[in-house]
Amino acid sequence: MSTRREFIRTGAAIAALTALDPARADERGDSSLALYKVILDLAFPSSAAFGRRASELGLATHASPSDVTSLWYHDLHPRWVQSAVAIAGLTSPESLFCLERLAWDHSMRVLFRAFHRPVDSSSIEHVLTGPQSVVRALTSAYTTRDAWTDATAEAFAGFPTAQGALIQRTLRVRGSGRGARLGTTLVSWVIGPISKTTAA
Amino acid sequence: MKTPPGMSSEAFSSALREFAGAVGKDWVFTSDEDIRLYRDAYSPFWGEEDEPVASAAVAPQDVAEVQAVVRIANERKIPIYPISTGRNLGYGGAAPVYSGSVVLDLKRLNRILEMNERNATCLVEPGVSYFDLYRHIRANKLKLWIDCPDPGWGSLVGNALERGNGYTLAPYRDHWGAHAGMEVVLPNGDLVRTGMGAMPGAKTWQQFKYGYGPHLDGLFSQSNFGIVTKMGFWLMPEPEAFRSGTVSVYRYDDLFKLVDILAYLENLKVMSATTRVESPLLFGAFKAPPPSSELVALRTKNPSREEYEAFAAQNDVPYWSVILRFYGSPKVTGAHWEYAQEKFAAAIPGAKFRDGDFYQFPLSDTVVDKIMDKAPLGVPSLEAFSMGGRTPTNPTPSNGHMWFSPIIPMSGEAVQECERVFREAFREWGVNPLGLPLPQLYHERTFFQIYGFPITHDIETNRKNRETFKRMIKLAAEHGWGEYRTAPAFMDACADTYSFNNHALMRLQETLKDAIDPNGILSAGRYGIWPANLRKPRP
Repeated sequence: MSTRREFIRTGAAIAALTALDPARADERGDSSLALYKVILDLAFPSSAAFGRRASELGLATHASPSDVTSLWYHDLHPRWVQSAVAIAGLTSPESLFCLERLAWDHSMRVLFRAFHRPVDSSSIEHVLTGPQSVVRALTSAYTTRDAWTDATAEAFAGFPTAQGALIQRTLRVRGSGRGARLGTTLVSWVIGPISKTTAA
Repeated sequence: MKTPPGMSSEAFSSALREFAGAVGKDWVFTSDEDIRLYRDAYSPFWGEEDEPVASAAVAPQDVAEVQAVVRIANERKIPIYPISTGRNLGYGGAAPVYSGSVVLDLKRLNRILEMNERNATCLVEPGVSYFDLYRHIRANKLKLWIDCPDPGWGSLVGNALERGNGYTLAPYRDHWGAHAGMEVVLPNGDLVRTGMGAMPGAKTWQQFKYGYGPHLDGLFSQSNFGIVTKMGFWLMPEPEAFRSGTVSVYRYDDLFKLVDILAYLENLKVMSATTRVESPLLFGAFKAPPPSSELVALRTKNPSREEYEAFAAQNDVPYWSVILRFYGSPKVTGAHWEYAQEKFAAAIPGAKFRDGDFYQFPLSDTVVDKIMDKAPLGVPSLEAFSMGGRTPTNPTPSNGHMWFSPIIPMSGEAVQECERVFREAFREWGVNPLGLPLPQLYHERTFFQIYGFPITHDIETNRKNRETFKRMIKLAAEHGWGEYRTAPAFMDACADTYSFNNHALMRLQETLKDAIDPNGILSAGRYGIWPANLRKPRP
């Protein structure tokens, strides 16, 4: 029998796979945001784990150091000049600070952001702001799954194109060594074209 | 809806409709989400009622639309605040000085209008960033360099008007000094060109700076007398080679000769790149190895100068060091480096020299990407945001910073005095600013010191830092040291220190303000210049 954890994981993965297949998205009656790239920073093990899961889900990943100059200059800017396309990531807040402002110039906004902060060696505080469906799904996943980075990648793979109202949730999750493994505050995020909702 | 001070919602809505008529409704921003983008991310008033914020933003696409917006604002007496790219972080960002102003966002004026490779000049609009110009040069394989600050995402025009600096040779690293000619929309909507630009069909607008008659360009820098819509710059021809080398000296008193010779080489233009005096012994230095455990232990003991000197000699850790950067051909840069070594060696017994980086140009993108410290090679980057960034040893970096950077004489005595004055003050005040109490060579013939304060999201911490900053402005002025540039929170305080003859300079600026902008619509309060209707009586 499936556990609740497996159910959530499977559900998210199916949503992700659906997102990669426009025909299946149509069958489902909705669609997921197409992500041009998923950005990770190999200096942080949590980000690397997030990237591995994103890659398993078929998303194009790009490892960048905290200095996003090369990523932006050689890759994102030429692409964004053609058209605004969404990206996502789990990076340092400093990387997001730059990418967010660069995205503004291409009529894009941060559609979802979640700060992940180690409270102590065994606890992480997650502060999530984004579409209600994503925040609720991740709130649930973070409390039930140890691999929160996997859950984040899965949620981004199935990120809705129609985001609706934004909500914010803060939760602290305990688990052996969780905070120590995270080590420092990171932020997961989705940047995309402006939709009808406000930005996160 | 937020409105400009004293303006009703109805009147403001009517004005916004007029703005929309001038620039198109898609380019008038009033929603909270859009206005949030114009907040100063580094505001020392973050989260306080006093944080200056925009009431709306308008983004024209060309000069005619700028003129139209200005005329509407003038007619309706609406305060407007032009920005170029709005990335003047640490100095106000995109937020107005006078809260409730309408931001005039010039990012859409982003054309590179002229590039003259043979004469190494360009003419650009305010929305052109250092990255834009760099990309244009690389794409067109032009043998030209830019000189950029760090970070490089700001506007050439904006940074020059702020009198910002970069890192290459002296004629170019002074961004205001490197400009040649500008086009300006006055507060009444009139359009003026300065220098040779005043002559219709002039062939040398970006080459000959002065034109004919009074040189008025300075009126539009660090001021609020006009909106610059075009600006010319002298660019650096791509050199054949770049070479750096480090000079190290080992006794405290070597500082004086070190600075004197640095000044001599700078004024001869043998070495005229940005640099700074460092102390590997006291504080560490750029690209220097981390201090040994013995040095860390020594520093904690509050040692005497002699103890430090003994350690320096025994362990080959310089008391002072300077990185010199040379541009030219392999042969010329080598000769300049050799000559510099001769001068230092003759004056300072025991001085040591170490060859640094050497590059020949052009470089491929692959090589450029791998270079740390790109700015001295005229390559823009965002590296600055990651330098103080999140690492295992720095898990909680600040949310930004504000810099106190007074100009001091270029002499060892001045460095010594400035370090002492602020060290004693910080001890008395119980504060501990960021940064190193050692000078940088940015502006020719002077040093500037740089002390930083983190911007936090804690109101009380920010309040205390603002108070300390203001005390530092006063203390510096008491010693004859003045800020060259500052954040909006301190513009009045800094302007107040330039007070010769009962504030004669500010009185002249106010006379000009009243004449050029009688309705006081443009950038009220910028650099301490307030229009008559908002001016406070001087004590």
